[in-house]
Amino acid sequence: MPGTPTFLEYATLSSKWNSVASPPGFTAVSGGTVKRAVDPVKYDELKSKRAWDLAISPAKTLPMNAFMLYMSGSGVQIFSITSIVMLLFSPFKAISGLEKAFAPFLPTATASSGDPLFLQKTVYMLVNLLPVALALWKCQQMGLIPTGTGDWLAFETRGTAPELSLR
Amino acid sequence: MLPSIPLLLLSLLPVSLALPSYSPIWHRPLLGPPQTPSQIHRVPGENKTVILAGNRKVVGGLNPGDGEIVWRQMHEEADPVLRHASSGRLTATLSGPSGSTLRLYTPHTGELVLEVLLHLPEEGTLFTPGEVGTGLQFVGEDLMVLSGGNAVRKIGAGGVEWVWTPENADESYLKLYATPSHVHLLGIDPSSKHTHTVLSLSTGELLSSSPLAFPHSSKAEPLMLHPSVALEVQDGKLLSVSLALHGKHKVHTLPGHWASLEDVGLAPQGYVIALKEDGAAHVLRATPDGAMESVWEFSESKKAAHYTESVFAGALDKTGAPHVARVYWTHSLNLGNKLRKGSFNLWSAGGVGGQGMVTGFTFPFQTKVHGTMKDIALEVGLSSSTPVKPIPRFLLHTSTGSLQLWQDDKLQWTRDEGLGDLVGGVAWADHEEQPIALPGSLAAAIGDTASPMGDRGVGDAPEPLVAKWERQLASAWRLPGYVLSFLLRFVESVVPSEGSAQLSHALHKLVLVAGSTGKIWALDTSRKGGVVWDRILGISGAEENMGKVDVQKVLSVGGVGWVVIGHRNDKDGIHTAAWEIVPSTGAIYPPPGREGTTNGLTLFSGRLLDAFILPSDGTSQNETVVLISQDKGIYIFPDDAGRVASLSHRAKQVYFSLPLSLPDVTFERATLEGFAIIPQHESFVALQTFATHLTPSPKSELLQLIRPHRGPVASLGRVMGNKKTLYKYLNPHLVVALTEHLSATDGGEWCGVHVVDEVSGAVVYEASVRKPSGRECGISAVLADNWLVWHFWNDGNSGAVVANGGGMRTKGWRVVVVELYEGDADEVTRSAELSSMSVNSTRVHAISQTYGFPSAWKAVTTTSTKYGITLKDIVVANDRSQIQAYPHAILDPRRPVGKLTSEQKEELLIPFDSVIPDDPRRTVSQNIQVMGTTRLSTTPTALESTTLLLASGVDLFLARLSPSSTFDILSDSFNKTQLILTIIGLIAGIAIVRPIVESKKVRQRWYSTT
Repeated sequence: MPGTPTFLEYATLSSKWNSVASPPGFTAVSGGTVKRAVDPVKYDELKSKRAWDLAISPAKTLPMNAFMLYMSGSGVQIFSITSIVMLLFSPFKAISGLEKAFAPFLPTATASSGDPLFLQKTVYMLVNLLPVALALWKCQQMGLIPTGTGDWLAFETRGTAPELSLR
Repeated sequence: MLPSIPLLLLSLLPVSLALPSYSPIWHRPLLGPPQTPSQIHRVPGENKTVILAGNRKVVGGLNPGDGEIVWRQMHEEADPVLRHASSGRLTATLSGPSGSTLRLYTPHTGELVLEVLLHLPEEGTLFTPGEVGTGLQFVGEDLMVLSGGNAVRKIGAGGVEWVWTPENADESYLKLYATPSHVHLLGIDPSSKHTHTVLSLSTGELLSSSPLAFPHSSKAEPLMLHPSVALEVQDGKLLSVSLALHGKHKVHTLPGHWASLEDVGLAPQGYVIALKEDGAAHVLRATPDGAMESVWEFSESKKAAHYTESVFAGALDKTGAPHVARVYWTHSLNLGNKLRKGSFNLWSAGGVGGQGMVTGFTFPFQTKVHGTMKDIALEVGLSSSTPVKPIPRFLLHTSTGSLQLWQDDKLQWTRDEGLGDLVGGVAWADHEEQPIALPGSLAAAIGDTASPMGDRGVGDAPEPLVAKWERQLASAWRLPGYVLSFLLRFVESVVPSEGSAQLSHALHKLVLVAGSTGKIWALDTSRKGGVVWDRILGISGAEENMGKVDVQKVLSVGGVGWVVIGHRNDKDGIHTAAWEIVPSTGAIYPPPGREGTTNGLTLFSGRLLDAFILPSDGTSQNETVVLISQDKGIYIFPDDAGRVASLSHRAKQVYFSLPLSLPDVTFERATLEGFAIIPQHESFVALQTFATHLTPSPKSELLQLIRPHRGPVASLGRVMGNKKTLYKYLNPHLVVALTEHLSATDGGEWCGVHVVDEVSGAVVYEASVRKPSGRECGISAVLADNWLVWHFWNDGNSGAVVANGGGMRTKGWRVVVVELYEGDADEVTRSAELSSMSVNSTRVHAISQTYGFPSAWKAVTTTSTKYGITLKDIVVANDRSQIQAYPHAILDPRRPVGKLTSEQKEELLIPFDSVIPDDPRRTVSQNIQVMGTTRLSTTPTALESTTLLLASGVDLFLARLSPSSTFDILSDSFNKTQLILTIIGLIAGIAIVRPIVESKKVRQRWYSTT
């Protein structure tokens, strides 16, 4: 498990008396186990790598979603509507939880000023916009985006002609 | 809401929900005003009597018991009925030019027994009036027919038995009279002298032909009667001569000053009515030697101020004894406070001393409703008691076109056949009914419930947002009242009325129609229908049509009511007059004069050219009638100061157009003239602004000018599948002109359709097709907003150039559908508000398509709704006596050929089909035969989805049309009681369960072990 500094020697716990409290003044000596020291720089590199993984993770489901939406056709159905709603809203939810999501990956040895995960966060945000774009593309496919003049026709008005012809 | 969403929702709905709904409301089958004499005919052996009546267009049989139509036959305009006669088991009609077609029917069922084309319609000698040169007489079971002025046929049980035509083609024959052995023909030779020809009835052999022994006179035609006597009135003398085959014939003269003869159908018995110059009426009988004797003089038949002219009829009773009836109307007779002003005298032959006997009575004829008595048909029954008394039954034709059957002095029934020949259009009015009365204090609290949320309609001019908010805030104080009245209404109609009470109220209108006889009727559009009131304008049935009103236009004018404009025939010529009428009561302004006649308000002397309605100027509801006299004078009605000011204020913007009319008829060219109205010395003059020649060649004619109805237009464009918009060309000044012209290049005749802007005179769209050979142009056209639909007969050579150039193409009816747009997709010129003088006003992008059509069009119109949101249908009266409606989706010029693309599917386009199929579901008239429709009129109702349609011509037919389904009417299955009970049940349930749940929750908290 990442981030766990020590190893637990289960071998020493095999005795059924282990649950009994040690006598006062007793100091346990781990026999044969070595506490491995971790290089903090290397550890931060690892964290950074994991942060990158997280940053591009929303893109991984994108092809599947795109395929699903493509297959669902241009009709307005409950299936495609729920997919679109998910695609539209989950990125914003993810972006709003950005700091929380990246908190575990903050380097322990902070040296530089500014956000050490700025790049990853930016990428994360951008990649999160991809599902939004996909959803919008789908909306466009379904004709739900008022882009044509036809969508605004009902709001157009005309006055009366200056001349009057008798009927 | 975005427009695409309703569209999408619509596409989700099952198609069956959006089906249009057409339902007939009432139908009044008619014959039209009678023109030919009626006959009360007893069918032997059947013990059935049938009344045969008719006019040029329709012949039919009526049930004497209730006056209902038993059968009727419609004749084409080119095939008018000239004569009809019945005997025994046959009714014969002779129709067409100079009697070209003979038809035989069974009199009581109207089944066609025989139809013979006697001569081609273009052959045969034509006389005026049309029935001269024809003859129709039954001799026993045989029928003798004279047609075309020169051919005599005997028609027996097996068809035509013999035909006789003169050897000398110059001779023509005016009249036919047959005895059981001979056929007498009264002819005219090339020197226009009367001749007398006798044929053998059994063989058709010519027995003799000689000049008639009378001195020549071209004034009157001789009458022929039994036993072979001809008589005529010459210079006040009544001459008669025997027509016997052998021997020298002496001309007999009956003493007295005679004026005219009247045939009452008793010629085979030798009786005729002769009128003296002083009006005294005598019954004359012919003697075997060819002399005439007067057997009876009707008393009080001399001309007098207090009598109208008498009308005579003759009939035989079952013993074969002749009877002659006379009816007339007196101005002064007043019996027992009852106005019994009709008088009936019956002279019966035989009786004591052979002088005949006379019976008579008065009957309550209502001359103010039905005009004067024009004609009478008589039937005489005999009483079973002794002494045997004649029981007369007579059918009156009145000058307003009514038919009345009287038995003795009791009216059996009346048929208003004047409704079968309407003129001047149709005017609608809302039926003013008292709203459901609320308790006084409540009504006061609610305030004005008629316009609960501001005084605006959907179709009104757009208003800015701030103004809208202001208006809504200002009317917010009425909200409590509105809510209260809503609740009251909601509870009030708990008893399910299936929406019908409100529905029928919403569809309740009055419609004004005017007959050619000068009578007007207000009809009710509710299901029970019927005439609300009727009035006679001017005088009906006076001598020389004095005081008769020819209605020109019937208009519905805002702020006034109904206005009728007509020509009144006065002593000093024709005057144009106007009548102002209150729709609900029928009160007429100016009110009736001393004689009780409504002569109207005389506007000017001379004839009316056209009349228009000037819309209100927005400050009031007041509309004004603008009348154009023949010398292009402008008159307005009513001419109160407000209206004059309103017109002079707008005068320079008001335009109208008229077809060019020149006194010189030799110069004929299809030309539309435009005029502007200019104020001048407190009156107005018409100033010519343009004259547009519509056709390329000067030899042309403007057949018809159609001024389309203008209603509100809810949608400014047509949204295509790719969400681009084709903006409709909504120029409000368009008129459609139909023309005919002779091509200068190829000498062929062409028929044209032209859409013209009547303000600028610019031709916006035109098309022409070759005139079908041997037919009229016959184009019908209708323009609804930007949708032009026209219909024509294609005889295989419409003049269109075909790519493959292949020979003859299919004959048939074609419908051309044109849509006018402001340009290609997304191109806008704002045509609706554009001045006609601007450059862009004639920029039009026309999309057209031609389809085959299964039937001819007799009349066409479009539906119209209150706000113009509902899609319009084209409503057509076809040549099969049906009324059909065609939706825009079918008559769409953009129907795609081939497989539909997804965009076209999204636009709900229907694939192209070369023929518009005849779909019975689009037949508004269902299985009703709506005969002779010549005019269709539509009006919006209070419901946006629904239009009322009145078809007139011969029959009257009213229907309700919902082209886009009845989206604002609850279905019959909607159960309001159930809905209210459910809501009450739910509220009660919540009220009961809520405290229980609350206490349970509290208990749960209290006792729960966590």
